[in-house]
Amino acid sequence: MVGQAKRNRRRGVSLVGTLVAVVILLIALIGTSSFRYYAALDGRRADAQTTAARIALMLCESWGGLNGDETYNPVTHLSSDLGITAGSSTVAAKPSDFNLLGAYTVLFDDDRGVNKYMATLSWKDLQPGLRALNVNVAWAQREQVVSDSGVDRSFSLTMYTLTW
Amino acid sequence: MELMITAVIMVIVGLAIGVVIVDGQSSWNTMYDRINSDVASDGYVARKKFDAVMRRASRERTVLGGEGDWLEVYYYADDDSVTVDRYARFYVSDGDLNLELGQLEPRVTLGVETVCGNVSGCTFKQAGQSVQMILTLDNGTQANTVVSSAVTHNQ
Repeated sequence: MVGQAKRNRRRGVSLVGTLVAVVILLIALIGTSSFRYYAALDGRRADAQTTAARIALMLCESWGGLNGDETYNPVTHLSSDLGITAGSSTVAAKPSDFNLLGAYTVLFDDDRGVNKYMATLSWKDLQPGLRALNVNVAWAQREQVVSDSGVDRSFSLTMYTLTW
Repeated sequence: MELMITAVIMVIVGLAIGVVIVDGQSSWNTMYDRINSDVASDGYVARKKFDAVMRRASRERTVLGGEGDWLEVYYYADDDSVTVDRYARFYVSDGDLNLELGQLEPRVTLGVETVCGNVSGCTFKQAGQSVQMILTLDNGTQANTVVSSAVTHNQ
């Protein structure tokens, strides 16, 4: 009888052993999810910067196509295809020696929220017939729908055009 | 009793971590699609091609279709050309944005290349010496609108 009871007694897994295994598994899972979280976050940041650069290039090219006209209004030219409106303040800084053309707000509505970009257009005559056009686009990296005070990133682009 | 408490705690922790993991996976999938989907890459290609052709084009003449559904610009074949002797024409056909290249006088098509697919709409507009391309790409699950503007640079 005693020998048979010993044979039926099997070594099991203790609760502590199970918890240790679960903790190890959780650490691995958290590590993986952390990697993916930061990858997705960096991807969104890169996407926002790319979009800002595209906006700056588009505004520069559109303005340059009109020879840097001092009366150029991107709202008039682009609002039918782009969510661009006149901005209330120059959130994105312009170069100190440039003349301000205007401040504008561009809204992009993707599937995860609205991204807001603030653009400031300015110009400067370098010599007769040659004008520098500056577009500075600013955005908030940490928020999707942002207040103007949340802006913490900017992209500036300057192009040159003949005015005649 | 201790076992039950431990099990409940583990279930709560497991569910919380599961939510975080699912949300992270969802964000990962969304971002991956935004960066690597055919709609995103088609947008990059179309913009780059449009910029390249427009920068090479002559500012003397640009022709748009009646409803802005096609665009034709003209350029020099090479440095030895004394007159504008080539044309480039963007148009949409069967959901593809095509670029037709050819020579002028006599007008002969030299080649047609497909710039990108998944095109659900494309409109060209002219403002001074710049041309805007409003290209809408849609593969059924994701849509992307590319607004590009480029200046014709050559005489």
